[in-house]
Amino acid sequence: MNKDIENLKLAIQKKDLGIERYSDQIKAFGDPQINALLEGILHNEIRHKSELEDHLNRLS
Amino acid sequence: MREGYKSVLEFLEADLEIEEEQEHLYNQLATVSKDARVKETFQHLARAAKGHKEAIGRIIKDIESDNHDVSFYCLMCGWEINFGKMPSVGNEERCSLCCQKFALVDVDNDYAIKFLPQ
Repeated sequence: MNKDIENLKLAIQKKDLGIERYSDQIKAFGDPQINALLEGILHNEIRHKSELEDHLNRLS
Repeated sequence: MREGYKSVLEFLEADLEIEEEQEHLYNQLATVSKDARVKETFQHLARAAKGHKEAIGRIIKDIESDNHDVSFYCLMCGWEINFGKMPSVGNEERCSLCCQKFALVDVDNDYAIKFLPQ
């Protein structure tokens, strides 16, 4: 179970990087179509991070 | 490579690689998970990364095959201004909401728009 906790922490770090990357790109790009796609992905990343944190809280 | 999308394509291709790595990572983490609910979440994240990868890949393909509308947010009001597919640099469009006029310009192989006098 400790390994699960380590892996959840790793995945949360990856999600933080994804959230930062897609947020920066949305600010940088001026293309509405591309931004709509990136906003959808960003929304998923934020939701996934929350799910991972819920598991971490449950197992910690 | 599609003219006018140099930086966008560089970012999107990097995103594609990252999502590929994520899919692989989450599949690995799902395999070694002891907790059933954690395993299920990692499997879900791997499927999501695959979906992201496919969506980004479609946009790249559209851009590279000139099947992507060149559009921008109006610098005055934020409405969408569409120059259509395969426009020429110098083409002019007027914002349909605030009527401000813009020209399509190329800055180091990236499309941009500039204000034109009314």
